[in-house]
Amino acid sequence: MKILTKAISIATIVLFTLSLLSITACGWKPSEKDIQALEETRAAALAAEKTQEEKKAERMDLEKQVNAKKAELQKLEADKEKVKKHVEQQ
Amino acid sequence: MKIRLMLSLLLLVSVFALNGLFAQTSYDYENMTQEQYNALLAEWQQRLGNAQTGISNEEATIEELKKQLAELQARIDEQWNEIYQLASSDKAGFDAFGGDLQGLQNDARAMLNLSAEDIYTRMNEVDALQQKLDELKKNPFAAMSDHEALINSIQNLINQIKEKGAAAVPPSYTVARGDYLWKIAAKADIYGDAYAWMRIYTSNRDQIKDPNLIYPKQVFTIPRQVGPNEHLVVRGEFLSKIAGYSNVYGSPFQWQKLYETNKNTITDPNMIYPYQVLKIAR
Repeated sequence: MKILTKAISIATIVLFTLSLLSITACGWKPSEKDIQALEETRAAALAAEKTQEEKKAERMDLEKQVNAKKAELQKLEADKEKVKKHVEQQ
Repeated sequence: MKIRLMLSLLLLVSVFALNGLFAQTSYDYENMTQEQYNALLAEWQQRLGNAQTGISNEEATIEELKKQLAELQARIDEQWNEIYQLASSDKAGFDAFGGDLQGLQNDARAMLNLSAEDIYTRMNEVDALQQKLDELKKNPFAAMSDHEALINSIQNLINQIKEKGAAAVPPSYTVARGDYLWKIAAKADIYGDAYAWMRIYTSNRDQIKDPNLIYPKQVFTIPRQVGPNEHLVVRGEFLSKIAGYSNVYGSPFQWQKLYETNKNTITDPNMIYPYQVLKIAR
């Protein structure tokens, strides 16, 4: 009988400790709505960052094209002067 | 028995509880704290905001660049039109000029690949290349930088061809006391064949009045190759046969023209000799 009482008290202590632990473990939890909000924000941010990279690449390509056209124009202006002189000398 | 049962139950419950405790260390929503959630949400919101701002900026820059590109293209087209007007030509004329230069460059490259001797015999073609280049230089498009570079490159090739061909220009021989044409022609470093004296004689007619009379210190050219507009007679040939060759006149009936041109070395049109060098008047 004495042993049974001891065992019950030990079990009570253990259960109490465990219940305490479970109480601390089960604090705030995000709701489905919260989870969805975070997932959607994350997906949107990643997609936007990808789009930004694509736009950046497009912009850089255009910058290259503009620089090439500027150089072409400059060369043509110089060439035009040369042709003009050549025609005058003929 | 009851105690054992109770202890087993306790152990089981403890194991479940401990599992729950350890599970809290992994990153998942089940065990996420509110602070963690809020921090993550704020981070992603900020990243989204930054990216959206970045996209807007990039799009604005892209639009601006597209405008610049269109403007530059319009100015380039305008410059081209002015150049065509100055040259009294058009795009087709410009392209044709570029094609002519390219063709000339290819011809010059092919010519440069020939041996020095071949170049020497085709000096007429080298001169023709030079003439064509000089003609193309007169075109107003020749002044444009790309064409200028191409023209310089072609001129360089032609100069190299001339230099290479010059190496095959006949060397000379200075007559020593006791020499006679037969003896000179027989020398190993000359022709190694006494019968080739005729070649020395016909190639130096300006210095040799009589093939039996040559003088010490006279300098004779010793042609190694037949030059342009020349023909080296070989055994079995006669004037009408030579005149009939496609690279001569292409007609045997023109033998008289050949005879007239070489009257100073041909005394009888029925008698020509191997090694005799005949000039071909064009």
